[in-house]
Amino acid sequence: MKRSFTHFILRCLLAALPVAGLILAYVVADPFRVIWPADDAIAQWGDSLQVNINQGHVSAMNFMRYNGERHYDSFIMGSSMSQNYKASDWAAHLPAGASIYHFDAWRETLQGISDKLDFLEKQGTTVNNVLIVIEEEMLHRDADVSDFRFMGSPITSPDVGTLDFHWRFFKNCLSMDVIRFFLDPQGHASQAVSQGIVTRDVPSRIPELNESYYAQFDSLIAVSPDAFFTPERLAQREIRAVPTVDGPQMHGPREQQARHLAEQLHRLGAHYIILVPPRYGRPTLCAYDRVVLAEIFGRDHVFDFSDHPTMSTDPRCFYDRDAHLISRCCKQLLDSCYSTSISLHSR
Amino acid sequence: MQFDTYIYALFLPVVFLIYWWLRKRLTWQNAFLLAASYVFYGWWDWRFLGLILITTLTTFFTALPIGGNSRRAVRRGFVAANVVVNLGILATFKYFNFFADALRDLLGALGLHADWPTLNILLPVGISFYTFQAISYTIDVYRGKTKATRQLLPFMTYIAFFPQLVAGPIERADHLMPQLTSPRRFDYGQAVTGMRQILWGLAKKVLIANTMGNYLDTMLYNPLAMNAWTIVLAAILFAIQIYADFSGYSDIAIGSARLLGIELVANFRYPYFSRSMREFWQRWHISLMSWFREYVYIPLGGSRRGKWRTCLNIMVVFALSGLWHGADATFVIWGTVNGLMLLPSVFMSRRETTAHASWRDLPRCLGVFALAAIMFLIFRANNLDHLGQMCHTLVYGNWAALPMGLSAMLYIAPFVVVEWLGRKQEFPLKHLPLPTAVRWLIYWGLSLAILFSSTHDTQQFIYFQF
Repeated sequence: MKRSFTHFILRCLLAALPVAGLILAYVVADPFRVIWPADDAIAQWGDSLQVNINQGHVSAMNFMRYNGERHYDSFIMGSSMSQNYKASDWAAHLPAGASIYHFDAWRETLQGISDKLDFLEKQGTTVNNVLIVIEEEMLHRDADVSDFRFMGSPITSPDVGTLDFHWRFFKNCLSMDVIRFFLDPQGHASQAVSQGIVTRDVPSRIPELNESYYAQFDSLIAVSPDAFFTPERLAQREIRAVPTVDGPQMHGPREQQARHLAEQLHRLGAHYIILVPPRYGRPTLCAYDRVVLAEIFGRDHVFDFSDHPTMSTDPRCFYDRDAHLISRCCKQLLDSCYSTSISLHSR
Repeated sequence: MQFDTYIYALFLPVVFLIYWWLRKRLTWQNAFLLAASYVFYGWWDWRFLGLILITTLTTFFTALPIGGNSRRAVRRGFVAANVVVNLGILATFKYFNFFADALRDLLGALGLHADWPTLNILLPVGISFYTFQAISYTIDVYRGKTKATRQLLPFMTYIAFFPQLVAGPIERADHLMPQLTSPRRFDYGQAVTGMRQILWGLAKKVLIANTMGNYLDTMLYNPLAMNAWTIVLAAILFAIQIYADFSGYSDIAIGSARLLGIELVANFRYPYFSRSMREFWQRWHISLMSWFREYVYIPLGGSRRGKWRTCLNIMVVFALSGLWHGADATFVIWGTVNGLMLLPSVFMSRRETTAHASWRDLPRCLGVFALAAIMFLIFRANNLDHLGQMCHTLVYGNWAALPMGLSAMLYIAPFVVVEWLGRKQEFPLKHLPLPTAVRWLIYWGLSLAILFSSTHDTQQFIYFQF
């Protein structure tokens, strides 16, 4: 029996070779940057092309990697729209010695922010200051489980299993579109960009802050705005003179999530601000949601810029079509928040 | 836990290794098998384990007095109690809302207003399968066909044995219990056959059934917007899908059991190569049809009380079989129409003379397939309205346009050819008369094709809902 059993196991291992080889190749290559530290090899194809990373997972991995030496106590949270609020700009308003970390995730949800705060609490991290960027769209967004690029990280989301998370990335890596691109990146770049596998807007990164920023765009905008805001670029944007107002969203599960989030922030003793940024020509926060947010988080903590008179109507305030505010404007909004009387926590 | 997930691909090897490591201690081996089965089942929802325990313990303890009592009335009483409890659980979880709604509609039609709550409960996976397995044990003990076991552990494993727990094959105690109560020896040939059968089952599920499912989701989403040929093609595709899906599941179940040294009964024998509807039902979902034959059809008199009584018995069996599949009018209609289609065979003599269809039988096989495909279209309908829309398109739709989804034939054609060539074996991969290197290329090719074709969001096996 023993001999035949061993023989059988060997045959099974032999049969599993091609699959095992594929998995090994995937682990070594880590094309979506979810296994090995992302910042070590994030710009695989130079400055012009970068794989669309799962920012939530990269945030969690970088936190685990650098928190030991940097002891973060201040966090910028939110979706990709929180990306351009620079740590250096926020630091000017925080007590000296505050250690800032961008704990963001693309298409972040209120639940995702709450999960991250739970994670920080479990890690025993002191949370002194939190900047939460809640764009209007986040108030009617649930966790996106259908798209692997936006699913929660198993490190911070209790509902996402580690194996399941990595299996999804592995499975998505086996799609013909992805394989074609990885075999010949330049040859299939356009197709891969349109499918969202990679992006041409490659930001610079500061791994220890987990900060992405468009250094090349910012310098171009500063020196010669017209060189960045070309007629072609501006023509892509929908021009709506008056932004519309969306219906109330702060009820049901989202309201519960927001209340839970406020409880967490109070429990942690954190000083926080909720910043609602403008979007170009897009719905602004409706009055009902503004009132509910103020009631939940406190009137002094909520700053609604969604109907900002100039930014929401000026396409030159955005890097792209309508969503991502340029860092100069982000700084302006931050300064506006802190020009009011907020008493900051002092360590 | 589904068979076509990476979790099962990790679960099965771990179970396999520990199971054979415990081979010298039968009790430990069975205890481990039971624990593994409960983990497998609890993966869906651990609360459902309570129902399995109720079914298992009720059946075990009611069978003891049946086997040990000479008074027929007492024995019948315990059988009745067991059947009532088991069917009661099944009825509550599967049929309560169906009958409550039907009664309310009926009273409404009579002008009486009835308003009672329906239960907002999940249908426990596999409840129809293990309930039938439990009932068959009780009745077999009553009939003296099998002895009431006093060993609780093997009996619990008999009810919960994970490869066949959620979608069969529905086992009988006289087949599975002796295997669970005697020491198992690892058999190299049996294990290799098991692996090949798992591979073939996965290929059927992932490459054929799931692909057909994707086509059908589009083709049958709004039948009124389709042309008539699309509905015809949808019937063909669904017939292939449900066969590949369910027989694929059965192959994985039987193959997994073989890895553990246990033989399960066959559930499919190339039903679409049948030469009559009677033969079709002897080759399709064999374990369920034999259950109905043994515990419903024969007790009703079978074919011993004249042809008209035989027809009535057939209709009863098929109506019940339809109802077993689901608490929906479409399933009852499907069962009833299948019964009607079988009635002519009562008045005709059997024509099949050989075990397997030959080339000359192909026209008859095609006829059987066409009838089965029409029947399965009823089965596939989401509800009576959906069925009505399909019929409307077939009657009034456009017959001049080409059907949507013709490219699905690229998958079906090689599958049918392989099945035809392998029809004399239990499954086509069992013995490939090819050089070793070619066989290995086929195994590797299939493994990679399955891996590449399986999406993250796996499509549930169709029969899990029953």
